[in-house]
Amino acid sequence: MAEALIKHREGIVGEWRGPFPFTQLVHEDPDNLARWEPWVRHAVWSYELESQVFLSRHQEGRKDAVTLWNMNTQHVGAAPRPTSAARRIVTLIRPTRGTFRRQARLVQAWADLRADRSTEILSQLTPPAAFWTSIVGLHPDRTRWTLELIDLALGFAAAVEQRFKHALPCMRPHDLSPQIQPMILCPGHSSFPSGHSTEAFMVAFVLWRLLRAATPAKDPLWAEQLMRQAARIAINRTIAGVHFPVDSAAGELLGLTLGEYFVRRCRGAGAYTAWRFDGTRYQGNDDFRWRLLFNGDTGQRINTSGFCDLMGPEAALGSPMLRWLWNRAVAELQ
Amino acid sequence: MPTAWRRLAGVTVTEPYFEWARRNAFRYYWTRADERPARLAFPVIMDLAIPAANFERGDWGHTRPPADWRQVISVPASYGRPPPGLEATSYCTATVREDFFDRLVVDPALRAVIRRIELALPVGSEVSVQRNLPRPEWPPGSVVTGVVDDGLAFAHARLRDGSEPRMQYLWNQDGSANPPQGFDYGLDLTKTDTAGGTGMKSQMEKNTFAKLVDEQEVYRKTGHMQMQPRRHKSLAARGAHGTHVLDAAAGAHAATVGSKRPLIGVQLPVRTTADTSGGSLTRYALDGVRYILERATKVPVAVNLSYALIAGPHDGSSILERALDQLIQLRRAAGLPFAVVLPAGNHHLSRCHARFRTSAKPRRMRWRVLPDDATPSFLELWLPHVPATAKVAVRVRTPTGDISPPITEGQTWVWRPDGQVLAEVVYFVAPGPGLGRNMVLVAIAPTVSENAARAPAPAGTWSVEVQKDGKASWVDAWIQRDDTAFGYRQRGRQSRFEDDAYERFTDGGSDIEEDNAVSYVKRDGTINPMATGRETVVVGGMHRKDWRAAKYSAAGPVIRPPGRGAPTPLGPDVLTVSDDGCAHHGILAAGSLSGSCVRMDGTSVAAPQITRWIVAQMARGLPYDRQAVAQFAQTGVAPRYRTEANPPPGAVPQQAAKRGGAGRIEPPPLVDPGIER
Repeated sequence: MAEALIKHREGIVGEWRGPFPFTQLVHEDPDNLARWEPWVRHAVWSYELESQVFLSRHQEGRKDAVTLWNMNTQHVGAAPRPTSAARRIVTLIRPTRGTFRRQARLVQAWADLRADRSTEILSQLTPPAAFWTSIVGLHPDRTRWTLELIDLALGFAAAVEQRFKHALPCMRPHDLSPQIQPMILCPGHSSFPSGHSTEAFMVAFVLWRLLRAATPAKDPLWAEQLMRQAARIAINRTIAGVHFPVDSAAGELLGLTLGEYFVRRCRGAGAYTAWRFDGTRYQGNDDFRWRLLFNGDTGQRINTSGFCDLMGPEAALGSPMLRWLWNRAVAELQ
Repeated sequence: MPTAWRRLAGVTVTEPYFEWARRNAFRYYWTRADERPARLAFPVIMDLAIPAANFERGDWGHTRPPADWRQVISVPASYGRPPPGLEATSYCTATVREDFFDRLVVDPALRAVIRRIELALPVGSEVSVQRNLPRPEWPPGSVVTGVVDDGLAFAHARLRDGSEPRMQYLWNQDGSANPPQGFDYGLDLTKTDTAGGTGMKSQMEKNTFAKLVDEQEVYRKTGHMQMQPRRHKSLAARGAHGTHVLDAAAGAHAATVGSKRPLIGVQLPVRTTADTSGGSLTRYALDGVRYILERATKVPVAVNLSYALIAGPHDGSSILERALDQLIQLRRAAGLPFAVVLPAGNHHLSRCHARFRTSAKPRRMRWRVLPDDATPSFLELWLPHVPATAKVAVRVRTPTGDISPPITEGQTWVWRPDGQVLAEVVYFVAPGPGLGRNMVLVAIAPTVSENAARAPAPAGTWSVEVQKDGKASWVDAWIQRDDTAFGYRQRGRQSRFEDDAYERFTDGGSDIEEDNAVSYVKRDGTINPMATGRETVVVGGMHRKDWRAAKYSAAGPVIRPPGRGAPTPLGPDVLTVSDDGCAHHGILAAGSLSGSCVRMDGTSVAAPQITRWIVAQMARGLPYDRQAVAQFAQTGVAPRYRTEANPPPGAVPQQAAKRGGAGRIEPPPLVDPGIER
């Protein structure tokens, strides 16, 4: 093809007439995003999200905690050096050894459902876009911006959850017993928190907020179905034998909190709620109860758990380039 | 080679399955430490010479009870206070101490009042709680559908009246969290709130989000589904046996049903469905039926019990069959309509029945026991009714070639290589006339061992030789059910008879469904041994498309007991739809959760459709008993039903009565509008 183009040009190009006038693109103008390829946009937005967060390990009381901070880094005034004002997003404290030991018994119990759930489990090995697509009705041509937004949220969730997993290393169920025998290849990263749970709840939350932004009177049934789906995706990983129920609970809290922070940054400066998950307060025999943190009647986050703490409202900066994407997604869902 | 067969001297057996359990130190009876009660106790079902109410109260007529009898025998208080009309019931369940079985042999008082017993599987720790029996008032015109099964989804949209559950009472027989009044095990759920807990209705209201009931959350909150090892979690799967059955028996659109079709459910213990290790579910079934009758004292009741076994006397004489017959007769005599519906069973082609004529020349049955069977295997050889002329001698040969001596009446032998009992033969003598026939039980230990100290029994071909002096007579042998129930982990593996003369397939490769004259392995006589009583309604399966009997649908004949003639059924009473066609297995009905639909086959799904018809008959005050069901199959005309009076085009000719009963009934499809598959 290249050689064809070379010969073709020679055949038609004629004498050089010089360049024509043109307009420079504006610095940092979000509208430029429409010019870039999807993967480039994805890289730019990911940088926008990830460059604003920082992870620290510290003592919370006498417990080892890991916290994700929102740095609020911005450039103010004429000086070139940016300023930062760190605000908490979410803190995770891992469960005790005894809790994991008791949780292994639940993994063993859920294994009874493996044959029943195998098709779902295998379809959900990678981010299961087909599943939320089927609730909301997404399509690559009709709702391309929504799909890019969800892709972005997933990427952010994956980066954060893997950073947490690295900071809070926890054994997988099969490390505690040779009788767990997962029905799929157990991923090579820490068990806590569950990445599937984090991502599924983050996507469910973001989609629900998008639907509400597009149609303020949207029935909470959409939220209820999205959250049921997220919980089922999380539980399927326990059935498969690769996650403890407590991993799913931490993933839910992380996913919902990241979702809220993400939406905040998309919609412009304002407050989000910061949270803490204290795994040492999770009862070892407790199964994953997603309703403790979300009310399907109102479509609102709640806290009726004994192991999560609301750490108060915190401020985040808006992002014009994220807002650009958000508005397009809302428009196509209207 | 020295033989490892040993005769046990001085053993008098009151219950062959208890003898086997005890001989193995109960290691296959309590399969885990958490099942073994602190004080050894065994659930049994009893056939009494006096009314159960008198027995429970210690009023034993002319017999003075042993001073410590209440320490030895614990009868559920329920049997002491029978509902109206059932005062004369002479069958009950009990939990007995280990020494009871020996005392029953020697204690004249016990022998005078307790005629027969049968051991049941354990359910774990038992507690005693006394609470007030709810005395429900049913709206006039109510007919109760009772379902004893596994996986009862009371919150399902197909089982609601408006937004409320139609299930008024539900007894989950596992565990001991909250036993119903009068019983000492299980978890009792009621529709309305009680002092003991939050009712099903409130839990459904509390767990409604976005106007949608979170049914799984309701089941978890009520304790009806527990995601714990070995706990009841049938409802977590896509389809549940009991929910399919409930839908077939009583499912309807919530807006159409009204409050006059209430439901009462009994969830059988997980263990009775999950494995078959030498004990039975009969105690749980009888307690369950009793539980239903105590709450539906004044209204018509139809109970569906979609369970089947393989081995048993097959002459209506088992304790459960007699107990059900008696309950039905007593209630009807008191003017209270009552029916019990059972499936014919699915073991028509399972090769688990042998029937042959004995003579002085030994007849040998080959019994193929599979490897990797984690539960014991049992063969029951049932002898003719006249004990004096029906004595046989039995020799058992192991796959290793060790042949027992002839084992004769009243003897108990064990096969004990290296000091471990791996097989036992009990020649059990019925305790008296009219109390069943003599039976030889051959029990084999699991063929796989999970414990290094415990040897497995050899898998392969065991053979059982039967020899008889004097007049020749027919004998029957059945291999007990040892397969795995729907949705459960496989532990047991179904053993079978083997005979070169048994033909399985036609030249074209399809299953042969008729017996030949040569083979001792028979399809005939495979009918569910819980379903050979006089009064119960028994239902086989067929295809909707061509009205052909489903190939698994078991056949009679029932063994004819002496002195009992006409009312004894020959086979099932009727056939109804259990498959849409030969390529479309099963029929569609409710899955575990609202909005889902699954297919399930077997005579288990046929029976509840007749239960539904019976409920409708009761509601209109029309005949509903076995004879009425048979009559309807032969000549009935009803909207949306087809019977032999108006068969569809292409229906095959009617089967013989032992397989097909009085005729066929095609009810309207459960999924409405009907889906052509």
